Amino acid sequence: MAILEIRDLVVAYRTQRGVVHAVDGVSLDVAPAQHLGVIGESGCGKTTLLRAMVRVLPRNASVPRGTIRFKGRDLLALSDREIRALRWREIATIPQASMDSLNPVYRVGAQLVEVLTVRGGLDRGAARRRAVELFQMVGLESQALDRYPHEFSGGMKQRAVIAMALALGPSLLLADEPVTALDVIVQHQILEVFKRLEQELDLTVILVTHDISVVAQVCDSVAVMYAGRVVEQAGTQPFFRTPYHPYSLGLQNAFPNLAQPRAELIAIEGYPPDLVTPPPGCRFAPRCPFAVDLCHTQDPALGAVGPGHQAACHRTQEMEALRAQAADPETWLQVSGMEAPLRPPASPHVQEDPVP
Amino acid sequence: MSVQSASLTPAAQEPRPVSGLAQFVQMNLEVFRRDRMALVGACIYLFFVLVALLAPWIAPYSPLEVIQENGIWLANEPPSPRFYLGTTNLGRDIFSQLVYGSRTALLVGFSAAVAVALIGTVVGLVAGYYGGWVDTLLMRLADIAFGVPFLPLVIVLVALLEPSIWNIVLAMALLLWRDTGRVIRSQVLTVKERAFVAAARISGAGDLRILFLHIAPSILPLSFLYGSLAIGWAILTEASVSFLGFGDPDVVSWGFMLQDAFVSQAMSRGAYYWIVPPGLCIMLSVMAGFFIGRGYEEILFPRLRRS
Amino acid sequence: MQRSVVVYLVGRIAQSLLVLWVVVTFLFFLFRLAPGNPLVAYIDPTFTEEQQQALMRQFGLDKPLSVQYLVYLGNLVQGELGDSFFYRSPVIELVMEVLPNTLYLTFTSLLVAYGVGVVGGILLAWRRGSRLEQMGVTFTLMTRSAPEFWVGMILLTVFAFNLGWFPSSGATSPGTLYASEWDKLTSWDFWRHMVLPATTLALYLHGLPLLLMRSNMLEVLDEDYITMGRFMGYSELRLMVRHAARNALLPVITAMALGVGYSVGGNVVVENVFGWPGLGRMLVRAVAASDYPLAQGAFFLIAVVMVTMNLIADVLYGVLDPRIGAGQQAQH
Repeated sequence: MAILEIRDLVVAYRTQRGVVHAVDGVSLDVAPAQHLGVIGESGCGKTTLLRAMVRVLPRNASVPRGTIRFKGRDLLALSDREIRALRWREIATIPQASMDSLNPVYRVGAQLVEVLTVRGGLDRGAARRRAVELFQMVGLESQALDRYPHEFSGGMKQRAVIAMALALGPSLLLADEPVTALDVIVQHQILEVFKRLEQELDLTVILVTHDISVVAQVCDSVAVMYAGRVVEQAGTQPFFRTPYHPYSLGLQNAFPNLAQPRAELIAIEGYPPDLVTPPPGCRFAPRCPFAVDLCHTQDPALGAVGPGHQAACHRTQEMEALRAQAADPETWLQVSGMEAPLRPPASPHVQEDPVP
Repeated sequence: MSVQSASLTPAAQEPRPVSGLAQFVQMNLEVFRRDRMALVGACIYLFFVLVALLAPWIAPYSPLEVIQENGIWLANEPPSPRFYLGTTNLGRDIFSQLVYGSRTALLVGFSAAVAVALIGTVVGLVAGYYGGWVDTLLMRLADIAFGVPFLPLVIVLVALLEPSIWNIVLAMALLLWRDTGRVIRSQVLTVKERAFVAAARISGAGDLRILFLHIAPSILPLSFLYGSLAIGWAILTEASVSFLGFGDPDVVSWGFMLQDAFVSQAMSRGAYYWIVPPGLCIMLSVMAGFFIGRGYEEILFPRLRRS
Repeated sequence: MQRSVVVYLVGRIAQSLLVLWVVVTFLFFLFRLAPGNPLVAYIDPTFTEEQQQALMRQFGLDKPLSVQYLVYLGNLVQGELGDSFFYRSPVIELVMEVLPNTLYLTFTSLLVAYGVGVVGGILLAWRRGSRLEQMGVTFTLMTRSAPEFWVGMILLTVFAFNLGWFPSSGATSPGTLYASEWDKLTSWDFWRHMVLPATTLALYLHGLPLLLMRSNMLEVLDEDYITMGRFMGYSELRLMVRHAARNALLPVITAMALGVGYSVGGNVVVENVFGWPGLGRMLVRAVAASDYPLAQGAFFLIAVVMVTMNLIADVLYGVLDPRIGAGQQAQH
């Protein structure tokens, strides 16, 4: 029984250039205590997907289609008051840029106590005791509670944000690039904290990252997003052993991987497509070294390729051979069918307010 | 430096550099092309300029003429096709006064703006370029100018010298250069470090030449910004001074009209046609100055208006 | 910490005194260099030449200008502002008598203006992009552009003459005498007189804090910690007030220093429209009557109020901004 069921979710942004479907027909199931990693380059709709789950979206966003069921309730049908009651108590979020997620004018402890009292209903004394506990859990000294955010290092802030996320004992934890801004050693420490707490607290986690090695370290399953869609979904082991989507192959090539160290990193040429006018057929086709004519005209559906393993590619049958080719850097340099010059798409997230 | 002296435009934020005359003209056009409000402001001024120039043809009467019929003053007439906005208690045509009032407003507004922008620019240039004790002295003066109550000073000056619009302009020039001077100084501090200034110095250009030929053009948009704000201030100030009875008795201005209305019981008679139009004209022309100022601000400090 | 704060305060007070010194010096020469005999309003045409000379001596006007200046400065330091030509009584008493009225009006209108401005700025930022915001910003721009005396005249026409809700002039009803300032301040009559002038001033003054608060809020609302607050399920009210407004408020307090200065100047006009017996009205009457000592005294006191309030606002800012406090501590 899934704790979270997403069906055919579409999230659209109105921008000056047109409507962008940042999430375009995503379906996902997350089981209790599952640790799902959502990976993809930036601009693939990962963050939007995450924010849609708690309905904290930018002002120019809308959800024209789809459902998100959490413990049987459709989150998109809840009133504002109901969804707010659910946030943090049931679903906690560690946002991207959590470095700047603490209010600079209040002491960190005060912010922790605030959420414990206002959202958790504790009295101040109990909240204070719980705050000390939480800080210990994430490996922070209790004296640090009385300091201001600017007196914290990046790693300490990240720990503090994790402590805040765990404050009310949520059943689902959403984490958006939780270690991206940190240096490698601190990244490792934070991920260890993460891993330990996942186990200890029996949390369900959805972790969004562009860094495939983070997924390898702390997730038991993987969903790969490209251009607003899920293109592959699998357990972590099968995903790294036998990826079924060329984009997944490319991602694995492009990152230093703790599970499968590689000598050479190969970047995928180009950028994700501009979602105002997405390419016809498979959205990855313009960058795909294995694209055939069919790929440019027909959009492949997500289909089963193994037990609990799905991929959206026309050539899954030949994947064994393609994997071998993909290991060769030359393959990625001769991308066919690249029509328009590829450039980074404008971010749809920021909407400019109308001029007063 | 004291907090009080902080201008509302963050001086720390470096304005976009402008160099060369062509670019300067282009930038000014850009202000009005890109910013609809600035265009509206410019149109308002254009309208008032036209009215002021064509005043004798637009106004049916002379503004101070006492209109009589069969030897009887046509006083306190309500608005009618003959007197669009009625007449004053002395039988003067309010509409004609309104039309002629635009002349005074524009005269005061533009001359004060030029004076304020000119003094502020020169002070800013000199203080920023020479630095040292000159800078200290000028900036202390600016601090002091910030501490002097503006309107009371204008009143005292005008009353002691003689009631004329030129003394109002003088009073404004004495005090209001402070904002312009300060902002331009900080801009000069950054501009003078640029390569083209060093190049000019190496080629043997003198201080004055560098100051006015090389540095001044790049800070002119800032002078325009503060100048356009000063237009509004000047019109408001002239109106206030005239309203308080220290205006030039022979010059019809919107402030003069309101003073006339005030002392002639227009309020107790509910003569809105007398009270409302002059105030609206003042408000419109002050707003126009703000709009144009905002347009410059938007071009100069794009980040400021980001949201 | 204490030492650097003291240094800052002493420096700031010295600057205020310098401003005042320049103002009084300027005033002195301005009034002395004015055309005509400074006693012209005082001298009865029937006075003989000798009597006139005696008067000149009495006011010290027979001495050289430099001596007069020093005497003048010495007197000022002792709070001695001379005698009014017109009222024939000490200027200091006259101005101190009306000073409270000016302060009541200034503080009431500032309080209202900054209260409304801050709350309105929060509201407009909260409803950004809405019709409400557009209307609010337009209205505020209009009030900032409208001459205060004109707004006052319209309010008078509507609410005093037409509807008769409020008195049209003065600070108290004719014939009312109060045993003490406190009695006056707690009387219904006084506040009824206060409504229109304070509203007029506040209408003008609220624009600055409102526009500033709004743009600061818009900036702060883009901050990540506000998004974080949304994730945490905080109510919009809590986010706006406790998390965003607190951060957006500081620059508004800085601006208050400027607002105070302008409001004292603006008082002059408003006091005259509403016949409010304060410093501004006294100044205008004295100038109009060529009562130079009184005009000088009123001007001086206005400058003192302005400089003092700027000083207070500056110090307040230092107290409120933890970063400035931290900077001072770090220096120590």
